[in-house]
Amino acid sequence: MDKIIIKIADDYTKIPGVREEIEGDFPGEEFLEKILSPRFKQAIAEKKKLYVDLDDTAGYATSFLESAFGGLAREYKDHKIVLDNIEFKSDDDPFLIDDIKEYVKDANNK
Amino acid sequence: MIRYLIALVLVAVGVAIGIAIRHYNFIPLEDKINIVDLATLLVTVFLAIYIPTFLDKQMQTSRYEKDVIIRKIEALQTSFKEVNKLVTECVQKSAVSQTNCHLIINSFTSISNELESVITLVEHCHAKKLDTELTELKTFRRDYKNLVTGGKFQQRNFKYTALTKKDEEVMYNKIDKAICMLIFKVNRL
Repeated sequence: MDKIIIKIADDYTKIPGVREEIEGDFPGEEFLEKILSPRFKQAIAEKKKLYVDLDDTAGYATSFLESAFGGLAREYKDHKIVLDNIEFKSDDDPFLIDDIKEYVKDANNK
Repeated sequence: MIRYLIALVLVAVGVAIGIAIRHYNFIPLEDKINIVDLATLLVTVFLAIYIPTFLDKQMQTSRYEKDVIIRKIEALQTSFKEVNKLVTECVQKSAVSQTNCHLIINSFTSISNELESVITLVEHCHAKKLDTELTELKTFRRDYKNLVTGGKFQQRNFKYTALTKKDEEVMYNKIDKAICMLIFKVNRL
């Protein structure tokens, strides 16, 4: 299956920031709106997987990840759609992928 | 080289004693062989060779492996301590500077990598024996990261509240205790 690739360090920022746009620079909410959500829609439409490369940034706070990936699950109201159509790469932090999957699973329980 | 020399000397001494006994015959020797005495002799010789050659080596290897794992676990403990110190500093200053934000996030990346190393080493040496403890530590790491870097973290003028600091302290002490217990358990393996 073909992939649509997002490399956060190249496509968005090397220094991911806060949760919401009003709170500071490079928020998860903006990343969701401008990059993650459109490319996810495109991947679904083209029956491709979305491949998110998380490496080469300064690291991620929970607030950014929850807002971006949890936000995507809230948008679709179902975490399975998100988890079935996204693949992650994280060599810098071996537990980051597990963390994101937890945020996605918990997103609609809040 | 010295080992071979000592072995050669010991063989020479043994041969000399054998010749002396045979020549002078001042020690009375029994013609019949007692099977119990023979078995005792064989077991003694076996233990004399087996213990230093295999058992000691095996114990030394195991000790060395445990020491490496314990050193890695202690490094992990230090990284958690680092986060605890940074959060305390932020509470004391009533502010979370950009530098401290990045230091905290970097510390969690280090913690992930250190924990992964510990898991790999434990699995390599003592497969599955500490699964429960390691799974618990993984959960604690995630909960601690969510607590410290969740909410409005990195927001301009973000501060840790007194309640968050209390929760952080409780969580940190739980992690510290779990890590100490893990060190004890690795030591006892």
